[in-house]
Amino acid sequence: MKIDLHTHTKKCKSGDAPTREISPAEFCEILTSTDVGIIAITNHNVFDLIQFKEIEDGLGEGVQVWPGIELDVVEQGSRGHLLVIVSPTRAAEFSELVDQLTSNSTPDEFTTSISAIIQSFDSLEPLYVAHYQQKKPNVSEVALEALTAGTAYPERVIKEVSNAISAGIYISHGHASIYGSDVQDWSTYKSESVNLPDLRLPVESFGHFCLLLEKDPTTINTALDRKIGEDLALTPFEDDAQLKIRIFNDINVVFGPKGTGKSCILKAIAKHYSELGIEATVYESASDRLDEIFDTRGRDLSLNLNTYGISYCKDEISSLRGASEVDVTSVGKYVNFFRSQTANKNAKKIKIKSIDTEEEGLPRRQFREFSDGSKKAAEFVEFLLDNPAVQRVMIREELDELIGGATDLLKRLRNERWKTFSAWKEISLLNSAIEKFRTEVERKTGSPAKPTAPGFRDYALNRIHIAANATEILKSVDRAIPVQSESVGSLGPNKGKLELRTEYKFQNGSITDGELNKLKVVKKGSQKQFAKKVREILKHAYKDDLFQHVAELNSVEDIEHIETVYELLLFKRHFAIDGNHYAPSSGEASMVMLQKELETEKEIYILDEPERSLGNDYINDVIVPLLKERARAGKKVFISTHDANIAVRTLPYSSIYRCHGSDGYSTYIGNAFSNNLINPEKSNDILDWKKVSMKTLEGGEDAFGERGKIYGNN
Amino acid sequence: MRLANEGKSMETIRAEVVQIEEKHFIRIKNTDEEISIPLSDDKPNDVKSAFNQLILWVKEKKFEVELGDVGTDLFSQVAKEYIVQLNREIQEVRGEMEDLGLVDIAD
Repeated sequence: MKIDLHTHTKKCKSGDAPTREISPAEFCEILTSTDVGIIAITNHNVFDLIQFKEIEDGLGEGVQVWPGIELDVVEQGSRGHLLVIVSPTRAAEFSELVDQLTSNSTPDEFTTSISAIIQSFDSLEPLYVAHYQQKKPNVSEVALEALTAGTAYPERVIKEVSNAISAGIYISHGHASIYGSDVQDWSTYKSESVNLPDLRLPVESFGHFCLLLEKDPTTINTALDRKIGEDLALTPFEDDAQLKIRIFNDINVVFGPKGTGKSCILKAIAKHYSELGIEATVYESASDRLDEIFDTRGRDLSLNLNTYGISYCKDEISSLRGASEVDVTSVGKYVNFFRSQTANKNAKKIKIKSIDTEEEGLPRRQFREFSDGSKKAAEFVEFLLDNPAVQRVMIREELDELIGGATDLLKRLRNERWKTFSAWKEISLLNSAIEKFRTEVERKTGSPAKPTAPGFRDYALNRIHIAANATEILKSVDRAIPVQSESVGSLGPNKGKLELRTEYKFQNGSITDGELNKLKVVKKGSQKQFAKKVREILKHAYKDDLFQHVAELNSVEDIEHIETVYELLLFKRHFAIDGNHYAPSSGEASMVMLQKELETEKEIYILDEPERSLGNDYINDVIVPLLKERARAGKKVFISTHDANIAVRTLPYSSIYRCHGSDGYSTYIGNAFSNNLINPEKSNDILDWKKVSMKTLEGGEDAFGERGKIYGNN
Repeated sequence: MRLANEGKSMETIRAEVVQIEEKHFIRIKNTDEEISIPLSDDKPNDVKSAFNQLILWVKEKKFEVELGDVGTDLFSQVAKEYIVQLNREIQEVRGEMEDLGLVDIAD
């Protein structure tokens, strides 16, 4: 949620831009489209109670709107602007006091003094926000001193600067600072509002905000208690000393000099949750393991060919390897038959032996067609009868008609199935009888029986099936598999997104890319030989030397390991940007590994010095937002860090500080909101969170500069 | 998609019994190509070679073999019976090829 303590709704002074003028309805519409949760209306020397009420009513409970005014203050000849903001519960009183103060002049002419402001408004317990330094026209140091000396609420005097960096710098030097939009043009407010300060703790009201500003311990603790937290009792160190910490479903930071046991605390936290059965592991940057983590060597790589509609061809390969020649009927048998046909009188009497056999193929195929058709029709009828979706979309009569038609079809198909079965078996039995008689006549008379077939059918079908198997195998290995791309992470706006590309190819006999690796145990040379031999087999399927090629296939090295086309797969797995090969540096490897860790959905993230090898810009622009996003999602995030960008800019709910002094190791626990770090073993041993952070953390000054974006400072 | 020769009447391929020196053969002629099946000697490899060519013809079109000028000599009788049976098997193989989608497809 964002806060904006400086806005205008009216063109009051002649120098005000007309684009500051906005109706209550438009104001409410714009506000509700932003993340702004608290807004103060501070027009120049004017407070319009009616407009304020309209806006307050229009916004409802979603956004808090606070009444205020931006006054022209002249103190010892120096002119500056001072915002006075009060609780909305006192808007009517505030309006009267403004009217009294400004009654005798126009907004352009009006000026006042610090003493007059205090006299008019201090009774309303206001918030004073003074233009400061480069925020022009700024209130002079003399006027500010007079304000803090004269008001009953000096801790409510805030210095308004022009941007987040300035606010942070002043905060680091002990000034309560903030910045508002000072809106000039409402048409750009929505886009500009993203730069307004964030509210890290929930603020319920104007009074609550003031108490937080005063760092009232009870108020801070109450706010923290609204966050889900828990107390952990850990024994992270060798001396078995127990460490009790309160952690939150938010960001929890462990910081301190090197060698003070921060990693031990993280490991103890991981152990604590693991023992409860919650997945918790410590993430450590290990840029040299990027290839291992992403398995670029493909050790655990696998692929389901069915996903791409590619057949594994297990049966086809097995049949091809086991293929052998089928013999044909010796022509000599025909010659012998006709030569001896008249020799034996008894044999001549048995006529059945001379009946020609009939081919069974056609009736068998017809039977199969009707059999398959019957099966499918039966399944369809069953589907119509049982499927609730069908019954929902069809009325009873329609469904009955459809079922009737399908049932009739099923009946006809079954009838034909029976007829074709009978015809097939009739031929089959006749052929069997003819064959039997021929054999018996041949045996008993010594007269050779007439051969029933030249053997062309079996010979041809054998080769046809070999060709069909080879075709099927080649159909699979000639299929292209789409490149698989997995997002690894962002390398920043300049370089773009790093992806892990996995390219699969079947060795089809002509692949020569040396960068491709074998997926299974079969050697690349053997894969190639296998594919080539299958092509040769297909090419020679109807040639005399076919079985020489089959023998060569069986002599390919590793042939016993090639059971399916899967064993012919090759792959190339590499990192890429925009499809082009890219080798990430050590720093880039750290970047993407940390992103991967944070983008993995889990309840607990434990990060040990995630900043290692990472640049400040990357930490600020990518990692800190990711950490905040995880925290907003209610995840527990534990970070051990030396980096102020992380320890300060994430404004952790819990800060654990480890240090080593003359008394040995010490642990302090606290947070930025109270600005305290307390030694739980000595309750009076309290450190200043901000000072310790600035002293201990790398980049502390800069980080505090940025922290002006976030309320909860000083 | 249309199968080769689909809808056309079945083509006839001529066969004859030929004698070269002392050897008899069934010679089957298909336009520019021909195959020979030896009758006098048992030469299975020669028969297989002939069958290999025959498969390609079956793949290409639907046809039957007709033996012309059948005499009464032994080899003519053998050839007659052989061709009858071969024709039956050719139709069977063509049917199987069509089922497997292995027949040549017309343009």
